[in-house]
Amino acid sequence: MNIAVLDVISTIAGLCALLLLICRWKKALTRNTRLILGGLMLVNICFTLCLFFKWSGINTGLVIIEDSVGMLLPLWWAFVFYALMGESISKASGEREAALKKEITERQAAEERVKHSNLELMSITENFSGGLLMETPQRTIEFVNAAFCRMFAIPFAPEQLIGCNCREAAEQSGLLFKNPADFSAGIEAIIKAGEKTQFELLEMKDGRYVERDYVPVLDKDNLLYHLWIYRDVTRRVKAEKAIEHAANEWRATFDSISDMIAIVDNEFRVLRVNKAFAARFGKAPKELINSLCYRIVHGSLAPREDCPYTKASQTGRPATTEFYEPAMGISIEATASPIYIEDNRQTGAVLVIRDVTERKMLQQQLVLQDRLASIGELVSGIAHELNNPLTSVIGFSDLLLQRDFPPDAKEELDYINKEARRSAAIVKNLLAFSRQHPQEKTAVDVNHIINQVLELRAYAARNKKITLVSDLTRELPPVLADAGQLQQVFLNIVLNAEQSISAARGGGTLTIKTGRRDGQVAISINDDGEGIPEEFMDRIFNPFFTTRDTGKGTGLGLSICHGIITQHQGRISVQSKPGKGTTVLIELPSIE
Amino acid sequence: MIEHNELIILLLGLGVLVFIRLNISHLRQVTAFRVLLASYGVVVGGFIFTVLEGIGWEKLFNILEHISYMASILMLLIWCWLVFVRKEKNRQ
Repeated sequence: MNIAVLDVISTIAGLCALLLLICRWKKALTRNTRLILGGLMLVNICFTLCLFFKWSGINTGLVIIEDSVGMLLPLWWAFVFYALMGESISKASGEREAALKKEITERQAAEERVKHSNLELMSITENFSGGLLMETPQRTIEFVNAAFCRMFAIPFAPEQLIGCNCREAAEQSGLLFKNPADFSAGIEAIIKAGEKTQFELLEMKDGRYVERDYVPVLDKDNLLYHLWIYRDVTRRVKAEKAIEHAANEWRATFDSISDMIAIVDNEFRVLRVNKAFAARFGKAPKELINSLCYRIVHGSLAPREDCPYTKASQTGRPATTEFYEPAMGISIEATASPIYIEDNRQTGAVLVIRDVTERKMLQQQLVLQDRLASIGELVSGIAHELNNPLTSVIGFSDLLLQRDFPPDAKEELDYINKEARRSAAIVKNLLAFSRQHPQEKTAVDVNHIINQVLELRAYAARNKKITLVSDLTRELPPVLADAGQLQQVFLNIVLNAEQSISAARGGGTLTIKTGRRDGQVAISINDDGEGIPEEFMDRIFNPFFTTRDTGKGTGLGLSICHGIITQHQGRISVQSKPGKGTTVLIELPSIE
Repeated sequence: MIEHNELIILLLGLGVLVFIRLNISHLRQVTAFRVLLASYGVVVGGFIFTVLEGIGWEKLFNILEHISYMASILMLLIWCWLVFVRKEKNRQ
């Protein structure tokens, strides 16, 4: 191997390294290090060139230089390592310095952030409308804000309270509350439980309401502070109480209305009903919620055609419908008033259902009275007209009967006389019915009049095998009445009863009872006769209405009774079951 | 025959090795330090072969000496490339 070639390669490599260093002069490493490194390259090149010249035999005189350069080589390497070491040290210290600067900057930033946070926290706590109290686990005050001092009328600045014993302060503050013992005990219990509590309502002696929250401030599992937050919620609580009171008042009013009221939505579903509504159907109000109103009221699968709610929905105005409801057995007046909310949208309706059965009956009675009055006037005129000719017929027939006539003619005259007298009796009754005689009202003992009637009918009743039973209440209050008219009423009813008993089975019992009822004198006349068919019940007080054969009854008895009793501000009603008997009930106002 | 100047160079080279050993913790932070250390190690090897050349196998040790110097310069060239070219690229 030619050693000179190796030296040439070494020299070229050295030159390349030097060239690279020069080309990248400003990249990496410091200037001094680069210079020393360049020196090493030159020393290396010189050394290898010396070796090349020595071994190629070109110039052997360079041996001396080779020795010098060879001596320089380890020393220059030492410079290089020294320079690099210095560079790494300065680099490390630079990094450390940079890290330190960064740490200082970060710490300053962190301190600034903490300062800002503290300012924010202070601002929040000072401007917080509620009272804040922070105490240590040893129950000494760590922090308290101004609102807390104001809330509990503490005559100190918040700073003055720091370090005070919280237990003693709580006992003193407790005196401001309605139940001081509960206040102190509550604090102890909450601290003992150590759990977060919220919205605990406390009532103060001065009428204020305070809401209390408790927050245990923890660092992992270590309790650092007890934080108490107090808020004055007087206005809210009073508003809530007012709302509650108003709601209760509204509910009580709603439930106290005797009419049935239901609030329904657009789908006919019941949202709310009052007690009267629920009671009518034998249920609690809650049981009817969400039920369909027509299912409840009519028991049907669809609303009625004349449903007031349907009408009200169509017209947008309240609608009323009156009808007889078979499912309830009463006549009702149903009114639906649509409910509108703010955007004029209908959300449902208020249904008011009123039992008008009694009103209907009263209306019917009024109609009947009106009709009776009209007929009375008509009959009065006719009766007056008939009275004179009948008197003539009776008078002349009496005269003729005193003469001698053949027996068959006399029999016919007698018939004329009797029929004329019967006609006169009818006319007399008609005149009585048409109130032609002025009333003479005095304090009357009803029992006495009934006894008179019973005495009057005792003989006839015995003949007809009718037992007369009287159950008269003693010390019955008197009534202000025309005694003659009352006697006529009782007599008419007793006669009707006798005829009914006779027609039914040829004998029976007629019972008359008297008593008091709701401040009135009540008289009931009961028979066990044939009764009145149901279809005739609504016509029995009509004049000239009779179920008897022609000529046996005028059909005026009960009409007259009705007229007399009504004139006495009383009431008369009939209850009857065909085949079982009839009861006539009369109520007259007592003088007491 | 061992020459004094060659022995002095060897001693100087070994002294530098001691210096490196003492400051190895700082020098480790130099980029591609192992290549640089190897380059220097090979130079020291060349110094040793130079000394050994005077004792015997003159031709062999002479060749080894020149190979060592060549290897040392090549490794130095590699180190320069690693430091001035590759590292810059990585930085970019």
